[in-house]
Amino acid sequence: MKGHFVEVHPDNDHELIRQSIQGDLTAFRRLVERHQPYAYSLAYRSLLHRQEAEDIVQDTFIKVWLNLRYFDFRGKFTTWVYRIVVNLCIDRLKSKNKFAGYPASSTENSREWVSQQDEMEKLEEKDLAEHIKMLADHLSPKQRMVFMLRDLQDLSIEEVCQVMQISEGSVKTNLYYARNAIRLNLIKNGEGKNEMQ
Amino acid sequence: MKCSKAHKWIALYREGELEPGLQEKLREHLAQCESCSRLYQTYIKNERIAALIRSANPEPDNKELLTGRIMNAVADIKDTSGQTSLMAIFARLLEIFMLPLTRRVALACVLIIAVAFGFQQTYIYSKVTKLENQLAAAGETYRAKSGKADVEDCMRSSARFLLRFNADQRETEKNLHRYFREHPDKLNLYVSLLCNQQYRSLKKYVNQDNYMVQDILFKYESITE
Repeated sequence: MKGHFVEVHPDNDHELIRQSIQGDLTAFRRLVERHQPYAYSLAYRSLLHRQEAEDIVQDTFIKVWLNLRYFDFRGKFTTWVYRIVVNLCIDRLKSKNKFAGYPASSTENSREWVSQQDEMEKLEEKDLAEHIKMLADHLSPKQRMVFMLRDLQDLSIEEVCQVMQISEGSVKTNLYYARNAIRLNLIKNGEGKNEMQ
Repeated sequence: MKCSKAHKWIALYREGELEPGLQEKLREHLAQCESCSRLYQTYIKNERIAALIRSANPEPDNKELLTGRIMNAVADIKDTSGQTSLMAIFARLLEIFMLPLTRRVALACVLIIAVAFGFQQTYIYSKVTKLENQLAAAGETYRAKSGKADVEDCMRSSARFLLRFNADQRETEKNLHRYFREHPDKLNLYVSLLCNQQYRSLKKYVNQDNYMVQDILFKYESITE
């Protein structure tokens, strides 16, 4: 299965969008219910903060409602929603970097999320929390969004290009730097642990 | 094998890009080198963590509550959007003024060019309209005095002709003169122009063509008598 691009039928979306443009709130509610899960998933993975992720999702669908009449029916609604989420997340990440850096509660939040997994997965809870914290600390907002979309949301390169509105070359470059930063950090951490052992 | 080479090969191997012949060499090295073996285990752990992140789809605490929040916000916007169109325009203007400097400069340039173009078009239009009115008045005067019926045809063709004129009055007069020289059959219209305010300005061009002067003056005098 390739991400969320195949999970929502575009034709049904288009009908709901048409009804929503006419002011039908019931149709719009169905759109929200269908597309909210992956919007939240991406926002949470990007910000590692439940309340902020919910705010991003709310802002996303308000923007969707305000701009529905400009939606290009030749494109996918999912791409459009992803794009709005990505832009809002990048803005939020930039403002975070500008002021206070990443919140100290990031690791706690990621642990809270992991605590929902079963016992076997809990064994890796600490690693997962560190891994997510590392992503937050070592990547630029753009690199992080490309990495999230490609490696965690499982979108294809072409889909990432559409969402981020950048070239394939730029996606690959950002992905390379993101993966490399993670790899270098892994090696560094591995060496650190080795020295301690 | 050097450990630095093994590090590169591990990355390629985990991405499925290491040649089968080299895979065997790497396995041999990992079996002997504890440090590289630990790094290899780190790669595997990282992949498992990424898979765990993918499989653990984070969800809001209360989906229904979040949907409700969104719908309430949208309903508020829907209720107020019809009543506050002025606010919407203000918000749009604000949005424009909040654009980055380069976009604002570009937008200002486009607006200046559009206003200048519009002003030029308005200026040309007013000149042409003035000429057309003069022509119409002259035609009417001519028709009233001469009792001839073909003036309206002349007016229609001259109106289309005038639209192509330059806004400059002198240029227009020259063009008129040239046009009538090339279309002797429209002489009546020319005479009708002479009946009106155009007479003075056209006269100097008429005087340059002696062969026309007599005919025109004759017609003019016959009308004004």
